[in-house]
Amino acid sequence: MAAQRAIRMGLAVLGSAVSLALSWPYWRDFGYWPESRVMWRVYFVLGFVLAVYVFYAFLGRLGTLFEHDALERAQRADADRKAAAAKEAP
Amino acid sequence: MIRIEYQTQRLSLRFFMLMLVLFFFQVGFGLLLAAQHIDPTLLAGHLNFNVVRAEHTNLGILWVLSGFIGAILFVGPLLSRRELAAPVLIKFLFYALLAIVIWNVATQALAQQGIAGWWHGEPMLQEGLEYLEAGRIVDVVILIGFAILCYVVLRTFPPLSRWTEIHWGLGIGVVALTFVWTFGMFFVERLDLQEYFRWYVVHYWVEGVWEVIHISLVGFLLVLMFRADIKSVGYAVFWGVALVWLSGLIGNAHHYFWIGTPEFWQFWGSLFSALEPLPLIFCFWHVYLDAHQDGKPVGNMPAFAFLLGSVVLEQVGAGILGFTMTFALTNVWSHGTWVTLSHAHLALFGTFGMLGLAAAYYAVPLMRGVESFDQRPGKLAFWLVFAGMLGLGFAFAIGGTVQVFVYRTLGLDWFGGDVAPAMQFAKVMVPIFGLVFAIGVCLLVYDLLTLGLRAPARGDEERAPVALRGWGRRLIGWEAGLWLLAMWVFGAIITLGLLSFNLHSVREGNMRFPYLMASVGYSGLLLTTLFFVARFLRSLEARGRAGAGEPLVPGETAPAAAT
Amino acid sequence: MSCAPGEPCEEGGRRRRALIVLGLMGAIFLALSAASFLPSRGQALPATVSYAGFDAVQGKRVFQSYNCMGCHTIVGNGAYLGPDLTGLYGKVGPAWLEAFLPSAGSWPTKGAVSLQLRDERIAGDAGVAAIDAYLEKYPAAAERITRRGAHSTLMPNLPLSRTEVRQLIAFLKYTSAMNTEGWPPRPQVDGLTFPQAAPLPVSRPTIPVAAQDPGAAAASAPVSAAARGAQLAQDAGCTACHASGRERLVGPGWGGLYGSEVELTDGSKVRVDDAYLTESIVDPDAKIVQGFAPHVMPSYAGTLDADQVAAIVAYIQSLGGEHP
Repeated sequence: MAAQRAIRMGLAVLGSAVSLALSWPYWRDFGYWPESRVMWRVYFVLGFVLAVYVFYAFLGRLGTLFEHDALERAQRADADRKAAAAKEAP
Repeated sequence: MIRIEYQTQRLSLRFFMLMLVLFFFQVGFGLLLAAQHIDPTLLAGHLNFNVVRAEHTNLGILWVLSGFIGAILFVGPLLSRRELAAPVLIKFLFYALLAIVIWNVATQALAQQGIAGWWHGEPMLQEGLEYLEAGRIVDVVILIGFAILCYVVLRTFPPLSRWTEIHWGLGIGVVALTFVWTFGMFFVERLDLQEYFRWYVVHYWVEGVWEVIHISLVGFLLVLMFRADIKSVGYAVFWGVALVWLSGLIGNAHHYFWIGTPEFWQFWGSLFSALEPLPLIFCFWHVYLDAHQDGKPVGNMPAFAFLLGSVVLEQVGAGILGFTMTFALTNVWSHGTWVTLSHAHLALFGTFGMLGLAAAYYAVPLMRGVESFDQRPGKLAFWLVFAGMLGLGFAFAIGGTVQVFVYRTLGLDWFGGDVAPAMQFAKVMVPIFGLVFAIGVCLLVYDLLTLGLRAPARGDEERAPVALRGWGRRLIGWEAGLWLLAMWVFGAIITLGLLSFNLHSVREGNMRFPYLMASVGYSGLLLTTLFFVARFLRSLEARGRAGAGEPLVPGETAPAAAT
Repeated sequence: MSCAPGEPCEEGGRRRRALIVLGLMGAIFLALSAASFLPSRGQALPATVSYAGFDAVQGKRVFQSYNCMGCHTIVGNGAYLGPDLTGLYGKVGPAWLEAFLPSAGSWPTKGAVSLQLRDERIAGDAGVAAIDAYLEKYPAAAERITRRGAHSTLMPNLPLSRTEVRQLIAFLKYTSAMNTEGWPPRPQVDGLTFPQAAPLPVSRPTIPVAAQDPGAAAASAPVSAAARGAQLAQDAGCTACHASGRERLVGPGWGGLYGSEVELTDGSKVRVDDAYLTESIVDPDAKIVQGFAPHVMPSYAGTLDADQVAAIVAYIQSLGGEHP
């Protein structure tokens, strides 16, 4: 599980880094106070952390979706087998 | 086939029928727009382009809403295990909707005379804002209509303690539908502020609210069609909705790049709308898994085809095409051109339109008490509509790429003399695919309007069964993943093509690279989409045969999980 | 079924965390929104931009009334049939817009634009009074005149009054002053000389001269007054509003007009003769025919001399009508 989490975290960081690179504003002029150097740094850090969170949550929940599916499938197969057995028994 | 247990479910029928009629007229206006794009003098002075376009966009919104209302009314009693509250109000809602449609179609034409009906500083009759063209009178009536819908839904639902995620999704959806609408109800003096609030309605409606309703309805339709487990669907609904908002809340900022708002939005908007496809990928897998939960045949193929079309076009139109143009670096080129049209058509019709049609195909036969119906017209209509829309997306995207080059890179701004002639090829493709689409729509509308009323044709079973080989073999998770990957690879090619407009050589006038990337990317993406859906539906058709006695693929194993 | 059996259930915590992050995002979004519209940013404001006595807010109402966004884009949003209007004012200047908007179905000629420049307010707003200086200052206006002048546009004529025209120009002046953060990107090549762009060949549209009356044309001098008038009518921009046939573009069609009787807004009737036509060209608001608005047509006094006006009148006469 720990390995799986590490992979997910790695993917999330990678995905967010690519998104950040594509979103990087190359033409900043720092003219307006919410666009000062300090604020831009805050935006980048905050944005990156939030993006990692969203990616990580996405990967984790997608994994659970598949786990659920496998579980339900097993249950269904189990129930089918029981039903078949019950039919054959008498 | 389940039977109608709750009589008030039948109230949804009239909304589905209204949806079909409005859809028919919307497509008619769309064809007229395509013709006017080729010859802008067509009907000029009698029915100007801007009026036709306002009718096209408004009817589009209204029929999607009508489909949503129908679907919500149909599933409401099933979700609550009791009759709908206040059926009288629902009947009133229907006539109010009808009145709104007629009134709004009429008042939009006033734009030709420049009449907006200003009263106390507010435009009463029409207000000339894209998507929100309706005047204030209609706005207020629509608000009342939404309030009625909220009341009906919330009164029908069981007590809060018994709400599942689907209840929450629909409940929050209808309340937010009403709330967000109010942001479009004020005349704003500043253009930047007006656009800021206009996107509240357009973006938060589409990507926030409609999407929530969409996820909830898709989830519940899957429960109904595949007997999927309601709890695991609920799980998917919660996280689907959560991811939509986690990405789309700030993602709205991709509309705030160039409207006169500060440039920090360019960073925030790009970053978070890059995440917006994630919930759609999530939804894609959720539908794939639920459709493959049991190996039983699909009873109602048209309904499932439209449901699949909705989820796939959401992935392609909203997810991939949206992604390609969502970065400030690509959007600076695509903004205000036909490139955005391909995204808008695939995403809006695909995601929301097809959901309404899926719900109608599911619900109408049940309400008309049809045990089994001839599914061939429905399936054929699906393919015409689906292929036509993909073709439209291609025409818009190619035309848009040419437009970006001529209009932005070369800076030629004579539309009649320079820009439109360069786009002529694409402009001619639009009505051609539009006609394919329109034929599909006519068939669809005819089929659904008369389903169960006309003389039954030969049954579907008489056709030669689909073999479980080749395209009919079981679609396993890995293969679906590869299809999805292929779509995203083409999406990446399109993105790189749009990015390449920033290159020095392209800006100096060498258009080869972006044109090449666009032709490979768009045609690849749309063909992959077409073939994937064909493959998916074929495998489900084959399952019908398997269900009829043949065993499924031996050694039935779970599709490989993504992780 | 949110937790696999045999594992500690973390689902509740995960959902709470997601909602908390969502709340944080909402706070960020609102904070950024608040910072977007602060006065300190120096974004243009419509209430402070005015043109010819009208402010841009009035113009915005006109812009919405005619649903301009249904064909054009503004800040890139709208329909894609016509060009973006955001920076148009800065490119073509007020005189070109004053000449274009009342008769949007036709591209203005140099004469039509220079006529507008005679208005001091327009010239003051443009910053130049002479047409050549104007075209130098606004090269996009020069391009429109040389390549498109007197051609028909793909835009329909709209029933805009002179007031609405000026309000619209005020709005376009405001949008032109807006800071749109570098959009649209500035082209780095000159599209007009770009070999692969191949702009359409431009030909001067021909004006029908006395087509209905071949006998009269044969009888007159090699370059008749009517033919000269036809050329003048095109150069001065008259044909943008007046058709050579009977149909109404913006003003009355000239076909069959001469010698007919028209009813004025004050209820009186006037026969269309040389004196009436001359007066209508020099002082258009002196007599307004019923069904038409005043102040739409500019005065040509001082632009056209008496000979030129007479030539145009001769041209109108040649387009048919009963001879008095």
